Amino acid sequence: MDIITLVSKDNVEFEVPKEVIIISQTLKAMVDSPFIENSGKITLTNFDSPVLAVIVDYLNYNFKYKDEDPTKVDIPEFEIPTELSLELLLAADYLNI
Amino acid sequence: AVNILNKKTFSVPSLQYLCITNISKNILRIQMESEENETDNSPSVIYSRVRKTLGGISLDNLTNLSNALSKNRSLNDQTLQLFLRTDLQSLTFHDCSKISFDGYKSLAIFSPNISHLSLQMCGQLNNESLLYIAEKLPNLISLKLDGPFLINEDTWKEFFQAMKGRLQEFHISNTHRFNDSSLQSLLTNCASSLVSLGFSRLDTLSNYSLLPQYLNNKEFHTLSIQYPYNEQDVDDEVIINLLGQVGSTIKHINLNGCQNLTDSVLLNGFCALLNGNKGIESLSFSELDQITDDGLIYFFSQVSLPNLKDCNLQRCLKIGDMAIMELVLNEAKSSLLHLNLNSLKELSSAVFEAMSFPNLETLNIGFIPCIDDATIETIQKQNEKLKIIEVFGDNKISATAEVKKGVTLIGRQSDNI
Repeated sequence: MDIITLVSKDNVEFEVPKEVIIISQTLKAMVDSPFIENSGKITLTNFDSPVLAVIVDYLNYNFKYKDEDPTKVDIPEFEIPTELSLELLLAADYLNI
Repeated sequence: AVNILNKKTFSVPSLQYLCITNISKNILRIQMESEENETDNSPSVIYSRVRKTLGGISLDNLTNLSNALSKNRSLNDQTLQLFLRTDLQSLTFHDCSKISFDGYKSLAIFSPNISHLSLQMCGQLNNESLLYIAEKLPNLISLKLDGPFLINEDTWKEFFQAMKGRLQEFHISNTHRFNDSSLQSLLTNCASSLVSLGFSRLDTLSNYSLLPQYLNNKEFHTLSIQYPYNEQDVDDEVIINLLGQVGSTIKHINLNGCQNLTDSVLLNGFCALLNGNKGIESLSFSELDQITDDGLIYFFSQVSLPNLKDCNLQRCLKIGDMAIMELVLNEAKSSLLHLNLNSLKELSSAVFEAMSFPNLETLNIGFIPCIDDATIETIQKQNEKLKIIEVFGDNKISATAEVKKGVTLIGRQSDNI
């Protein structure tokens, strides 16, 4: 399984499996593109590490539960840290998630 | 889509949805708290608290935020609070349908520096709030409104009187209450300062011939008259006279859907009057079905357009190969970035072999019968900077058509989402 490294503005790295990454259409396009992002490392210069951490959490959360049936499995709510919510909204808009 | 077919109703909520819910919830909570606590319920305290709780955001990002909120249809009186008490000078809301008239009033009171305001789908904007905006925003010079159908004739009059001498840009669309006397009032009060004017889909406006009599600003640059209710109201004479007034400085012309226009406008208006004006940046002639090849050939051969970036000939059904060939010969060849040839059914594949624009980035060739795999490859080869090609309705393009890296083909039948 491919592992993609996401790098935040302050150079913190997050390793995420490719199948989780491609939940975001934007990142999917980057991973599939002919450009440098294709090499397994994506630098997101717009996002600070706390924001990127939540995004990675969300991608994992979405990946884990997207095919579950809510009548059988109890799906927990995803918590948004309030102080980050504005920045997160912009990031989520950019990533199309 | 697959989920709907399988009757599956649950899906993981998007992160955008979660963020917006969280933001709205917190704004509401802060408002409630301050109402209970009588001592510090002055608006400025509320706003600074909102911002402290939700984290800071730079002025530049506010534009992105307004786009994100509009896209999610979640701009309402609560989320509007995020834009108040700021130094914003320019504000664009693409979807205001949930903002109440009180919301507009608080916007006018608490963001006094706004000079450029664009409110799309502003159905709840009422007479009182429009006048409030005119009164409380001393720097306002540009107003773009879509759907302000609650504003009546008297209020338009009062508004234009209040804006006399300072309104520079005014665009309005989708209302049946903006009529000839509102136009008269706009022109008598504000015509001398206007540099950009736009009308689109105004059912009760007919006297477009007033425009040439008043528009006289020496820096007038944008004219947009789209989809008049009666096509007879916007005829060749109106546009020719208008270009006589402002033709020497104009940069953007949009005449979409003025179906009464004929070649005469090109021969007697554009050719005669734009000569010497090298500044034209965009031309939009969508649905002008009486314009022919001959008219456009004459226009493109007589007038050089070295700055033309955007050219829209969508659904000008009488246009054929020769007009496009002439555009290639025009100086516009190297400046053109966006070209729309949608539905030009007369075009043949020969024209695409000759068509080469070195800087073209987006091309719309939807609903042109001759487009097939080979043409698509030729187009990509001849126009090296192309990024987006729209091909809706071109059913000769197969899944095997070669698409260069970096080019996005939108609307191919064989692609599924």
